[in-house]
Amino acid sequence: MANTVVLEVFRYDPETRESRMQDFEVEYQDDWVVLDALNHIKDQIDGTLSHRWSCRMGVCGSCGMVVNGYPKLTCSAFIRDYLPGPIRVEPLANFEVERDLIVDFDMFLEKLQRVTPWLVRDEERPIEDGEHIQTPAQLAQYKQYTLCINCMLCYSACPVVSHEPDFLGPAALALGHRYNLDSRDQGKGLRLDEMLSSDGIWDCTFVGACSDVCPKHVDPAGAIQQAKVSGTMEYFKSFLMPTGSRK
Amino acid sequence: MSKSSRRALGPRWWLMRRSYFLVFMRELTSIFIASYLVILLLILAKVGGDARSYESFRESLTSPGMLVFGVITLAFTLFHSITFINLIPQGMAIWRGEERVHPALIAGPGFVGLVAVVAIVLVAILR
Repeated sequence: MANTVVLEVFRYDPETRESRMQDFEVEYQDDWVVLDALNHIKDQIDGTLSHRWSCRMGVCGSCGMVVNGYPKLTCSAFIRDYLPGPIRVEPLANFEVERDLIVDFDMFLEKLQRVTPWLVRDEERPIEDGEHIQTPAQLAQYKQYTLCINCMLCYSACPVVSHEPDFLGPAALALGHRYNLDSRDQGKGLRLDEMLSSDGIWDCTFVGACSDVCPKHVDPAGAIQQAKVSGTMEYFKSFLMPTGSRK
Repeated sequence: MSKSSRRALGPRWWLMRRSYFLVFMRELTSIFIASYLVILLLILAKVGGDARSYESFRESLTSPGMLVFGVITLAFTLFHSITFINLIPQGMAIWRGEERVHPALIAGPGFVGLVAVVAIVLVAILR
């Protein structure tokens, strides 16, 4: 006898702007994840179901959804962990829904731009001068924050993002902090202008849900608190060194 | 382009999961702690006034209602202190070469300090 489970799937039609939950009874195999069940529905039951996925191994960050109320990568959410069901699958919270389980990431991408998420140099060195040498200890300072896969589970879990949509949010702020910690970077001042703004780190009330749901253990909540300490020190340093403390 | 339905967390978001609830409770502690500070300020003001007024105020603090308030405030203060100290290592990255110092070594002194302060206050009150 085949194992079956019911998936309650959020459906949204952008033409009519109407949403509903739709039940699908799915025959599953023991090693299936929720993403397998969604793919099965699309392939075998209802081809109109829309969801986003790619690597199927927790690397690309495409298949983030809300499973039974918790933001999860559906490629790592095993059906056996949700038995006997039903399993409720919804799009990520706090984002506009494009269709069914697909959300629009534009909000995040706009915020990401604001923290200048790249290495900034006062002057570019000529290639002949060689690479910027970095010690393993210097790399260790920020390496954790490079592991972000932009899956947006943290934005879906964050109640501050939910209630203050302009808040830059966990992933963007963690990335800003990542570059501030990079010994090769000289753009801290530029970044802190945004990170210390009214939409920045001080909006965070340290709920910690972003770190709880992060599949890569990036710990954005920790990054934001560290940025608060760093920002406060910069603020006081600016009195002592008014001309250029933020280097 | 047709777009809609940003799905925000509702007003009862803090009841949705345990971690949300605990954070909400930690925020709530500020009301009790602030209220207790107001009482302490009133005590100080009464100390500077006449003895009868001070005794009357001190007597009012022994009412059952105030005792319950004191117990709740103590519980919330301990809850706030313990959860806050537990969170310190997350916000304070201390490195020893390529290794981050273990969280217990950062939170530990916080707890030692908390116990020391409580002990000093208790000794001062009870001696």
